[in-house]
Amino acid sequence: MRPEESAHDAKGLYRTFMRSRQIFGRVIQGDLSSEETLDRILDGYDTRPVAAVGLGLAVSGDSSGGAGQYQEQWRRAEPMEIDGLGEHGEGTRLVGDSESPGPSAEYGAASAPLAPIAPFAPSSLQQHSDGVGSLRKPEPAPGFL
Amino acid sequence: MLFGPPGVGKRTCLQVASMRGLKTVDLVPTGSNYGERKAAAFRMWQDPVDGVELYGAADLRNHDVPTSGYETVLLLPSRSEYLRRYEECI
Repeated sequence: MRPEESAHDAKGLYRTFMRSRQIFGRVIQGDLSSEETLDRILDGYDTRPVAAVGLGLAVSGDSSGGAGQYQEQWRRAEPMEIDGLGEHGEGTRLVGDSESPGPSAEYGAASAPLAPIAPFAPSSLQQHSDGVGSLRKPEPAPGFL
Repeated sequence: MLFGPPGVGKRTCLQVASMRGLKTVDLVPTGSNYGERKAAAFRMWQDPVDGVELYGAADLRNHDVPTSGYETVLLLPSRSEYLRRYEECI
């Protein structure tokens, strides 16, 4: 972190990026060396599982669990999101399976329970606790469709 | 186009890419504010792209990036590291 960046700015930046991760073409997350990160950039790697991308949720970031399998699913799937989670969805995850949602989570996530991870999730998330919410299709992510 | 919070390794990634012979551009020193850096980026993007080019996005926004020919990649630390840094900032 550069010295001129205050803790307040850094906090805001981290939260902003975590909140907006679904709007980027790809996300690469994990404890990676620069070489590994660059390899994944060049290889078209995406850390996000399909369900997490579609719902705009922040899923546990360790990408060592074979996230490449999700990329193919993501390319085939129509991304969807729940209204409102884009605004307040940071710090949420699929309950009990955040490390490896697996094929069963593909779109099954729309009916999966959502749970906040302190301290990020606002109470407004509870309105989506039935896991249904209002579904709509967003614009296709650049570089994916 | 590489985005990401401070300290995630965007600049180091560009350095590694440069050592591998790729064209890299760190937009941070191309201007003293967002407007200048955005203008500098747009001037660069007018030139045809030859192969892979990596840009450090600095403070440009996702929607500043051309929708064709460029891909946005967000680099994030692991969740545990993110939480550790977040706690440091509180």
